[in-house]
Amino acid sequence: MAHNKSEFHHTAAAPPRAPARFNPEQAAQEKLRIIQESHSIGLIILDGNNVVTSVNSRFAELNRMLDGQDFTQAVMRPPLSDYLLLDMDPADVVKWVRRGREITFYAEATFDQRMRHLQLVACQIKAGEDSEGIIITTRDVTALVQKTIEANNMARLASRHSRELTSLAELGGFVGFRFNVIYQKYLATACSLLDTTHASIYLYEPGQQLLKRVATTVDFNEHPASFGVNSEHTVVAAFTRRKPQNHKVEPGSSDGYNMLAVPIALHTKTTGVVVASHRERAYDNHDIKLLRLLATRLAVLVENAELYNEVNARRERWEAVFKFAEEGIIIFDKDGRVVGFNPAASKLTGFGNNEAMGKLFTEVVRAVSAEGVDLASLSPIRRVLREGDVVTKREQLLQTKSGQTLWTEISYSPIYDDVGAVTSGIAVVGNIQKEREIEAAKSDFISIVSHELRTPLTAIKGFLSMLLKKDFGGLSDKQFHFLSRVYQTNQRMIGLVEDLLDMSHIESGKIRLKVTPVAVEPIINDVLTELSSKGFERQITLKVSRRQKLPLVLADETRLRQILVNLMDNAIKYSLPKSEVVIDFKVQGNELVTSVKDQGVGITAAHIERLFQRFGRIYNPMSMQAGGTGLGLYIVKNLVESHGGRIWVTSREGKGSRFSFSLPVAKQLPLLG
Amino acid sequence: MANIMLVEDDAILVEMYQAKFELEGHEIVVATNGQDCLDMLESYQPDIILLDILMPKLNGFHVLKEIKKHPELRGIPVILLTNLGEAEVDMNQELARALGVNDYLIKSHHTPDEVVAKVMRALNTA
Repeated sequence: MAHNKSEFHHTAAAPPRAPARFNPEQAAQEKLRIIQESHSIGLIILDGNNVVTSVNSRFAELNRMLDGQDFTQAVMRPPLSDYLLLDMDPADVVKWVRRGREITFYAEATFDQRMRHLQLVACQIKAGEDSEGIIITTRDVTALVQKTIEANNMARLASRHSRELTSLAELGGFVGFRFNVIYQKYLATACSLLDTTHASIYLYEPGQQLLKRVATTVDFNEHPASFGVNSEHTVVAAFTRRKPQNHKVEPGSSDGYNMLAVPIALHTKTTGVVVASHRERAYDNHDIKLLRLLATRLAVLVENAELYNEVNARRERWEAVFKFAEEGIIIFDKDGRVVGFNPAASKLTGFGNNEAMGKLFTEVVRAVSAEGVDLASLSPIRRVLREGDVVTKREQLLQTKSGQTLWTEISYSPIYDDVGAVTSGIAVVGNIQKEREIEAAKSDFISIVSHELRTPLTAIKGFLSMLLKKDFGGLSDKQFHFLSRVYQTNQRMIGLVEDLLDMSHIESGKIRLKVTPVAVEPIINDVLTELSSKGFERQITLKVSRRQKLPLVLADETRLRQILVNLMDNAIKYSLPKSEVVIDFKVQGNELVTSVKDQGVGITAAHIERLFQRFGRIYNPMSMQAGGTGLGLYIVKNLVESHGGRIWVTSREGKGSRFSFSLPVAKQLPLLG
Repeated sequence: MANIMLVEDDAILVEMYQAKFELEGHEIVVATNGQDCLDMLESYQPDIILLDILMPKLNGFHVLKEIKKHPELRGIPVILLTNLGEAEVDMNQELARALGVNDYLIKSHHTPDEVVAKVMRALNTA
């Protein structure tokens, strides 16, 4: 059966041939031609012997080289094989088509110096039951294939990025405190991401002004152990400029290598540099991006490492304090159970660390009274834990594990968490047994000495008073005057002994007050009378200013008198001649405030601080001529405070001073039987 | 005029108080320790006793207890005259009061004149 070639043969390269078997209309042919052209579709028709009877494509070479040839052989041989590369053996195509299959295959065609992708579809031409030939349509699918290739490339790139992201994400999994190991993992990731073998991490040492290598994959010295921050190097530049530095080797250059250095930075802080180097190919923007991502993660890690080291160092310091402190340090939890117990605490209490841990604080630090009564219920730890109270230097007798007693000084403090809640508490226990013993010995010593001093002073006072009273005959004026001086001097010594005794009693806690409701004013009047001669000598007016009826105060009358004598005597002593000393009162809440005001020399701020300290006047040159032990105000302060009152002073230099003290008001009548 | 017993171990103070009381026209006998005092009281009953506390052999409180136990001596007024420190005085004063002491004087705080005045007051109120 002959192929009807003429009907399909419209190109110049393919002249019309034998009479067509079919007679389609002219219009239909024209339509087909337009479709062919606009869709780049070509037609190749083979007869029963695979000979090309008609070929019609856009490529003249193809038309020429195929026409009249055996298709199966022509496409596999030069010259056509130089132009055309099929992805299937044409003999197979023909074979399958003749068995009734439609075969689609592809070819790369290089015509007009351009490579094109052709899709070829072959199917049988049948006349009735007989196979007459094969028709192959060709279609230029170059654009489609290129899109596909592009899509494939994109998919490949996406897959690579995904791998990279996975690698970077995996870095987040490297946690823990073995930072050197983690640095190595980062470097391994950097090497695989950047396809390199050389990578290092440098961290900045502010103390030494150095970038120090903390991890590397390089055995030899290509990444030096450190850089001075002033030296010139890609690594240093990345650090100081805070920008990635991409050092590329000039083509043809014999030395150096491609190097990419990226700063390790978080927020505004640059802590180091990560560097990759030694690769044939120069690093590109994508590499920079990858290394930056890695560096960001590294920055977080470095910061963690720094924090960890700091916390560690701090912990070590505290541990040293804890271990070597002479004071017992005991940490207790919210339930008051011991969770920390240092060696000194063991030594003080007699309990070993293992014994103490988990026990109640009060079982280990056993507070007892001098009579041996258990005082656990008075322990301040509940207050410390619940109210957040701080207790400083509370003197407490403790009973050790072996039953001995020991004077201690304990300070308590709550321990807070980040949000300010009390989580636990700490107690610092100092051994003051020695101090207590020394204090007691000192107190005894002062007591004995004072007592022994009092006897001769009594004799001097007594004999002198008799002489001055002229009990045993008259005295010349000079004799009287001089003996008066001796008497005054002796009185001062007696006063001094009294002060010393008071001080020793205050310090040994031996002062006992007999507190009753007391009227202040009569005592003041008594004292005024007592001191009036002194005031008169110096032409000082003593005045009481009272506007209201005064309430009774709770005080020991003798001690209150002592307080008033001291303050008023001082006021007279430091007053300028012809001035006033005024005593006034004010009721403040539950307290009566009594003030003694003078118009004297005043006190400088520096001296006010020391005023109420032991021997405070020693520091005040002004007072040297005024006489006294320097214990007066110290004693007064302690007396006022042991009444539950306060004492303070306001003063202006050259204008005078105002000493005020408060005492609790006696609200109710005492419940006497 | 009163008969006064002074119980005092310090010779100079004895001389001082003795001089004053005699000057004021009083009869004064002296015991230099607690035991002496008790011994002397067996044969002599003064109008008033000035009693020191810290003394050799027997201290003032022991003497005081003995006196207050003794039916014939119990009524004699006693003034404690001491140079103990304030803290001890505070503690002892309660004891002294419990033991029925008429007055409690710290020697260095008072001239002999004042002591005489206290004695006379005690005798007048007794």
